[in-house]
Amino acid sequence: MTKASDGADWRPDSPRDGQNGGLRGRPSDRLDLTTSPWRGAFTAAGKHTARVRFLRGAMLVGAAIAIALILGVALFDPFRRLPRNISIGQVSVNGTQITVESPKITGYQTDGRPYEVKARSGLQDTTTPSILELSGIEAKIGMVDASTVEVTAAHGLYDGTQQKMTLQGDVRIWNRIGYDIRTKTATVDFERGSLMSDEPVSVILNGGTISANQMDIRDSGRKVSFEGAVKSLIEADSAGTESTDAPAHREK
Amino acid sequence: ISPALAQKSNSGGVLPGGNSKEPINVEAAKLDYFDKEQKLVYTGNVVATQGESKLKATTLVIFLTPKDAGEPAGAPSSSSQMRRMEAAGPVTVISKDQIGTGDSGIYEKSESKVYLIGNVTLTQGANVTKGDKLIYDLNTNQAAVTGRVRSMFLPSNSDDANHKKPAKTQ
Repeated sequence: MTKASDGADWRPDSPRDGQNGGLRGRPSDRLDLTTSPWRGAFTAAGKHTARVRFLRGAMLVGAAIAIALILGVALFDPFRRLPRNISIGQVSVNGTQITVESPKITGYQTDGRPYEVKARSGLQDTTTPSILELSGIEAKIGMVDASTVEVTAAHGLYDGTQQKMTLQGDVRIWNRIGYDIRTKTATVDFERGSLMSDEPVSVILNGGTISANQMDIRDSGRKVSFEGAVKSLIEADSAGTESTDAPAHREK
Repeated sequence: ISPALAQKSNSGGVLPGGNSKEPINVEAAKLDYFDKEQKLVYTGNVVATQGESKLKATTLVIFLTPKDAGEPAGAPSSSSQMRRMEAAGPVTVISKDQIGTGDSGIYEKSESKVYLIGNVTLTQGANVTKGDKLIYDLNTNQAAVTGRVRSMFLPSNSDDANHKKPAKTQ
């Protein structure tokens, strides 16, 4: 028989109980003389049921939380360490490599000018999450004078931590109203707003063209340096009439 | 004395003898473009050619007309024109049969004149004139050498060329 450990300390019934004829109250008054083996059993059973009910609930809830945790870690953890703000299309995962359709990365350069990098597809290895291999790249970099420089390239490597991107394959950098630069490779440093290319480069400007072996654009367009066999053609303004300029683009 | 050349003068290009319709080709080892100051600095055996005229120097700085505010950075704007050129290091200006050399050279578009400064020599055919400064007026294509001038004219004994060879115009 379960020994009622704490000894049911039944309170003497208040008259109110008595009236409603609770069976519980009246027999214990009369049978109080002996500690009946059943006396505590009822409450013990009650406690037991309560405990069982609690455990059952706890197990359910615990299982749900565990599943949520595992899912969370599995699904979101690799993305959590991606560059700040990235929006992605369809995602496919194989091994540690995630291929992302039409990724779009936006960020801000040190002085607050925006930049945005879009691509046809991006490949990321979860072991090096801040490196994105992009193909079919279109980037837009806000310049100091609020004009935007657009950059396109066949493919490139975007490093989120250093905010740098190296581009390869018919790289084109152009500013609608200023210049149109063509080269094979280029490295863009978004934070410093600089762009460097150590492959032959050709530039079409409004008033002429420049070609050289290397090019280095510093602090977002304030200084542009060309090196190695620099050839530049400056269209002389047509004599006499000052106003007309001859921005004829002559393909070199 | 200015060995003036009777040349049908068209409004001069940037280089003596050149005409301004021709584009200017500038080749060098290095070019720096400064957007704020709107200037192009060529360094390393610079060769600037316009039509038949040629200028050689070690450095050539081309000042463009200042951009008005709001022009895009990173490139000379469409309205920017060359307003002044400064060449340094031994400067040589070749224009048809005239060769002028000096320590430094300046082209000032507003005056449409080219100056060569510092032990200048101007040779034309066999005639050589030395002086301190050469002023070449692009409109009249007249070169004037000033300062301590020493000229040497060789009597041309060949009968066909008369004393002043009329320069061919383009």
